[in-house]
Amino acid sequence: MRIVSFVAMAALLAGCQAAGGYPPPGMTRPEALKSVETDSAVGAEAAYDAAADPEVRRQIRNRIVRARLYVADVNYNDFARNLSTEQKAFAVGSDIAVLGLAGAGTLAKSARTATRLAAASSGVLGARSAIDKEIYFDKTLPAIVAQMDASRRTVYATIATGLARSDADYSLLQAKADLETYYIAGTIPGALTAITKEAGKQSAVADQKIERIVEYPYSFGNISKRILKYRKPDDKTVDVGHESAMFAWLHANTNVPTVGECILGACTEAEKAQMAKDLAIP
Amino acid sequence: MARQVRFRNVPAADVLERIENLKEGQGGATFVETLPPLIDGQPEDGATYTLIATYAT
Repeated sequence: MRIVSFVAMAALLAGCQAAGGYPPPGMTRPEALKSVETDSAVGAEAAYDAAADPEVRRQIRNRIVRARLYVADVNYNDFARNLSTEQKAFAVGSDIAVLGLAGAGTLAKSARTATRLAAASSGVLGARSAIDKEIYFDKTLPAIVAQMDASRRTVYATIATGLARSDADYSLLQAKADLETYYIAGTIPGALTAITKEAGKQSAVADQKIERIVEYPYSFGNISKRILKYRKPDDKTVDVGHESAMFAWLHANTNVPTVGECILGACTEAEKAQMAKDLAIP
Repeated sequence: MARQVRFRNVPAADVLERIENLKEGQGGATFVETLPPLIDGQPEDGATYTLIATYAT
């Protein structure tokens, strides 16, 4: 009975699929690829090689490149659809089902309680792992797809600009290299590379903006409380006169630039005590 | 350009008031953040934080 329940639960979870969020395409993928087969095939390049007139070569080049762009788009859209919720739900359901069946197998072979518990435990732990993976995937996938879309648009702009140029300025060979870049831009490794590069650039910019970083252990004792009270006698508003006096004292006697930093730990206890003494802080 | 000052091991009970202390007064911090970040602007009871104050230079 337990085995049946275990398997039934696993099968139920495996079959639990959400809608993918995509309407059906106008043409199936094979139909779409078939529609541009002539121009996208390797054989189409023979006509380009044979043509002597620059304008004819440009027209053939554009026809070939547009056909291959279309093939890349069809394949990419198919790929993106398969990354959708439906696919992910199936993946997690499958993970759980496999774990459930494996656990059920162990239960069937042995009557020992310990083995049953171990099987149940591995099933639960495994399911947890599958769900964790799913949550992680769910959070990162939109960013990866957005990066793929952005990278593809960037490369597409290069290709579209090239197609407006003469064959001498933008040969089929150059276009083929750009088409390869267009393909890579629509892959998960390509997107991850682009994201990493962008993060590195932003980090470098941030590092340039922060010229100095110092760190102190937090230290807020009785002297700090007295200084803070002197700074804000009513606990609400900074007393400008007291603040200016402390600010001047810090600049004359320490390397600590502000009162706030001083009272949190940038000043030593001895420095705080000296300031309190010199300024007659109660 | 800016400089950054970090204060380690600030108890949760002190965090919000110390953020204010760093921002107020002459030459106060332009921005103070915490590690770990505050959830809904509130520190978690019993946790300790690093305050990161950024000052314009």
